[in-house]
Amino acid sequence: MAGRPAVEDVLPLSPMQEGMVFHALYDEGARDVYTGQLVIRLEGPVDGPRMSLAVTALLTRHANLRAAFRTSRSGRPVQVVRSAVTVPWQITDLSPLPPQEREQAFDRLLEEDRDERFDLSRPPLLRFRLVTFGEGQHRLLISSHHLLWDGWSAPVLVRELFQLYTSGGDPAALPRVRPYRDYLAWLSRQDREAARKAWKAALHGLDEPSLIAPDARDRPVEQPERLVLELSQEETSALAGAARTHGVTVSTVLQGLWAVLLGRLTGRTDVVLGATVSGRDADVPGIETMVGLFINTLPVRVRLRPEEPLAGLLTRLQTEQAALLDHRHLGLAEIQRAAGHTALFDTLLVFESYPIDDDGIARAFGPDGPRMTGVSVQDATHYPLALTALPGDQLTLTFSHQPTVLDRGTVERTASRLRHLLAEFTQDPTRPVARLSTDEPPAQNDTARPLPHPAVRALYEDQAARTPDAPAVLHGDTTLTFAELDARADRLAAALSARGAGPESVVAVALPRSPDLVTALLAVLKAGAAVLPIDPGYPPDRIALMLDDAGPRLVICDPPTSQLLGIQRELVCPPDAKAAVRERPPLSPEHPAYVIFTSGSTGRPKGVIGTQRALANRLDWGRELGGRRAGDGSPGVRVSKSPLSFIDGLTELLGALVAGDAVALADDEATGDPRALAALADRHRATLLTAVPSLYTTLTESAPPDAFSSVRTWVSSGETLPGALADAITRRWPQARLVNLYGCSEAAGDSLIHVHDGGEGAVPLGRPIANTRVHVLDPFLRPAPVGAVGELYLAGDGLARGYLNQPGRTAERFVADPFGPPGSRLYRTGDLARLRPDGTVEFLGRADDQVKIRGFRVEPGEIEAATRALPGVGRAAVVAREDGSAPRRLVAYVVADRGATGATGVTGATLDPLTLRRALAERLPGHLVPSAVVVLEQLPLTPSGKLDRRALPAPDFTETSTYEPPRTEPEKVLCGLFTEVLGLERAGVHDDFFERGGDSIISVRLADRARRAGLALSPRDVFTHRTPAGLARALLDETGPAPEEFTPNGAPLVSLSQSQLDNVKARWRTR
Amino acid sequence: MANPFDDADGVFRVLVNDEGQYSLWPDFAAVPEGWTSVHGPDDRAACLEYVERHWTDMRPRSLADAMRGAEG
Repeated sequence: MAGRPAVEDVLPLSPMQEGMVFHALYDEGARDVYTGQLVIRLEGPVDGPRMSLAVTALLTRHANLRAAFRTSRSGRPVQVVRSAVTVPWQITDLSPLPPQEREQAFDRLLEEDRDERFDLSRPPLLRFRLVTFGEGQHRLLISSHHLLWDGWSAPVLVRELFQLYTSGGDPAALPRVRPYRDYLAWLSRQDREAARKAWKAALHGLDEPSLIAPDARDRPVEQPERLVLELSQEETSALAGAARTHGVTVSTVLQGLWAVLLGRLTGRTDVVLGATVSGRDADVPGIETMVGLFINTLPVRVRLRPEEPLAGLLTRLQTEQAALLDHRHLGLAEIQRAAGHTALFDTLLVFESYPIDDDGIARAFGPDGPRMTGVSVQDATHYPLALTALPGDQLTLTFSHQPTVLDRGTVERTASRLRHLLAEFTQDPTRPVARLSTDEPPAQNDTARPLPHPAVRALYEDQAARTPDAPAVLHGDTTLTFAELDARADRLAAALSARGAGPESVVAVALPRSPDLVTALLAVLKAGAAVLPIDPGYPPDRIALMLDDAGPRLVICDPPTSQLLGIQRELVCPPDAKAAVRERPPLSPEHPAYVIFTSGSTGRPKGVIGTQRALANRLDWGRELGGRRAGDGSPGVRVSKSPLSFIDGLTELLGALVAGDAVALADDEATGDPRALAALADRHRATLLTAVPSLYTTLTESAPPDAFSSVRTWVSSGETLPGALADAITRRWPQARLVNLYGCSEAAGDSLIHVHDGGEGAVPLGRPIANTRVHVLDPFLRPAPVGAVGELYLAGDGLARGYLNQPGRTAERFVADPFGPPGSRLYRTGDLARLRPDGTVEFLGRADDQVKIRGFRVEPGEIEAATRALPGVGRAAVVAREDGSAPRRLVAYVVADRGATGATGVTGATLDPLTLRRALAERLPGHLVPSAVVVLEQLPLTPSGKLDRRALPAPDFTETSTYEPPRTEPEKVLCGLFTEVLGLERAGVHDDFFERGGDSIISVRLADRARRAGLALSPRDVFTHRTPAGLARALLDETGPAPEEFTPNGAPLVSLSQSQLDNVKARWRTR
Repeated sequence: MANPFDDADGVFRVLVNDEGQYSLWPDFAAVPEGWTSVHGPDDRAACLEYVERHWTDMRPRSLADAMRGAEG
């Protein structure tokens, strides 16, 4: 190209330059935050053309300021230095404007200038503008890309510019400059391999990066906003003094305290922050007077030890950092690769330690030139939060933040915390890290309120006395009034007492949902015993295990169930047993009211012993959930549909009665089928209904029009309630309010409540219910700052006594409460949460492996243990997966036990996924049975030896049968629907719904889609007929023969007992 | 997120309150009011073993006393 200046040099990039080029090119449409502005205020006469000459001379002098950044043919980025460039130079005169408008005009100009991106391929990546405000009042604006020079270069650059102005652009006025390429040459001589090793070692064992804004990575980078904190002279000198006493630099103090803060913000004890180093310690003579980009951003890893004194942490940190001094030339990208992480930190600390030669700059203009009266620098980073420390008589701390990622309030709180920590260090440097003071948590625990009766039976009996003739139980055509129910329960309670049941004993109840069940539950509580609800549909082995563990005094069940479960005859009490009513023994609020088994991570379910006080408190509070009818406030109807073997089933049923509402009992069919549920709710004009979010999804999608019009309160619990789903519910049923409850068996079912208010994102867990306290604590058991992740702890009347026969486990989950009354306890939930400024709790996930499947609490460890116990299985891992559009499902991965051939005759080659799954279905309740079992050669592991979940393959549901294409139109439709709802490539007519990944929720979806396609199927049909062929046959032949062979153990995902299944079959046959 | 109670390498104590309820407790944290250290500092497993050995009646002490009184 004619007239284009020659290429003078082609140079590699420094690591920091490579990183910036990446960020500049990453999103070329966005603003490039690496556009920096330097504004110099000048007083006195400034000669524009002369300044322009000086600028040209400056660029002649520094070859690297003439560089463009391009990609070489080999794909490597290079900087191409031209022998000459034209420097953009502009003069703007603001003096014609009224004086009061000039600053505004200048600000606009700065903003426009910032928006103007530099094209990295067109040098120079800088421009100058002299702005005249008035006579002798000027600002010199130097805009440049950060690729050219760093903040440490600015004073050198400014001094040289002024000297060249004074000399009229004569380069001889200055000594020869050492070129930037000498620095690049020095870089290339460094031992990168040694540096990689050193960084790898320094970051060894780091689990996760320390990100305060993990969601910010995909957002476009914005112009940061700033918050400046200036320490007083006293604070500054006290800090310097304390640092000196302990032999550490102020920079190390800031890094250490920032790490403590970062630990609180991320809830981690092993944190990494970014630190920008000047790079001016490189062994290049004269480097301190060079202009260029020498800085580097490096990780600083800090392991926080709770017992370590703060001063000890700082000296250790300084020693650890000193070991890395020789390796600070390595680029961040390479360090991340060596450490095996794609990101390490998102906060940056810059300590501006470079000495500024103010006098030198002042002298540079000479006596006749203008005077520099001020300088301001606008440069930026892409990090969500960066802290720049400027030492001096008063240490200045500038917090730059991405405004949409971190709001100003958050940054203000962070700044004030840092100031507080600095004060703590100067006042008490020996204080252990875990005992540094923290924020006052927001007031959210003021929940004390009197409980009329700390026992469930008294709450019920009070209500029965108030409304004896009101309906209490609705089931089919049967209605029991409060008085009738009370009389029945009294009779049974007397029978229980006569057989030895009373306070501190356990009575199991294994009945289907029926008026008898309600009577039995109340009778146990009236007798003062603890109720152990057992789902008669559970595998007999599982029930035996629960009975073994709980050692019930009696089991209330019908004869077929007692036979099926093989319960000793002397333990069995029929639900219609009676005895003369007699005086009841006294009942303490501390006596157990329930024993509920939950999934246990060690392989056995664990029984929670809940107290009378806890359950009574939850039920009494639950009156205000609002089951009453709109208008006259007459008693409402609450639906009982949650499984009774879980605490939610118990509180749902008893909660209605204690509130004076009737309870409408759902049949099993109605528990998951929108149509059946709607029919039940409409028949009884139900006012309150509880469901898990996955069922709400189905309800909003496929409830019949006008269904649920009597509902006043929807209760969601069991799982995170997505905001969009919550909105869909309130849009569909505007007459009802939607309440999100959070809780667990260990705290009587529910501890937090939030009434959906249309807020964005997942519906929060809310605030504590009556007589309940909640804490979000960091790993040092300190209240986590507002907005920071911590672990959720519960305290108050709801706490259970502990785990049945497991004192050790109880002592590690129910722990001493440092915040409550003396001697009180905290339950640690294992849930991660954060507090909003108003004290509302938000859910953030689990601290351990526990998962929720359709609202059920599942410990993968329990299923893993059950899987490992199967013949031929060596190792096993169970995870919850969400593949494609399919809902969350459990998948078990198994590896054959190579040592276990011979004896069982099973080898890896013969491990059959379907056989394994069926075997699990015989041992585990439905919600714990994996949707698929995948046989692997070995379990994939991460470099640190843990299970590599991401490397686990998605289960392949296509291998379960030989594909046979549909033959009839209904089969064709059904195969299509199978494919759709199960997320499959294709489905054959003999493909079993459950073996290809179906479950009860998906069965509802399938039935709904089938109905829309004109095929009248219910979810129960899906359970019974299972394959497209079977379903099609059932549709064709309404009076036809028995359905295809039914294998109860293969269909574990609804809770049907054998007798119930027989019922289904019988009903089918007689249709 | 690391919970201090789950730290297999941590140093712990065993605390007891007036109701005879036991709590595992990390040694780094101050003992809360109303609790007394009865074992430790020791490793986690040893502390839990101590609890298993000593916490034989999980009823709160005041309740157990009242029940004994009622029987006697």
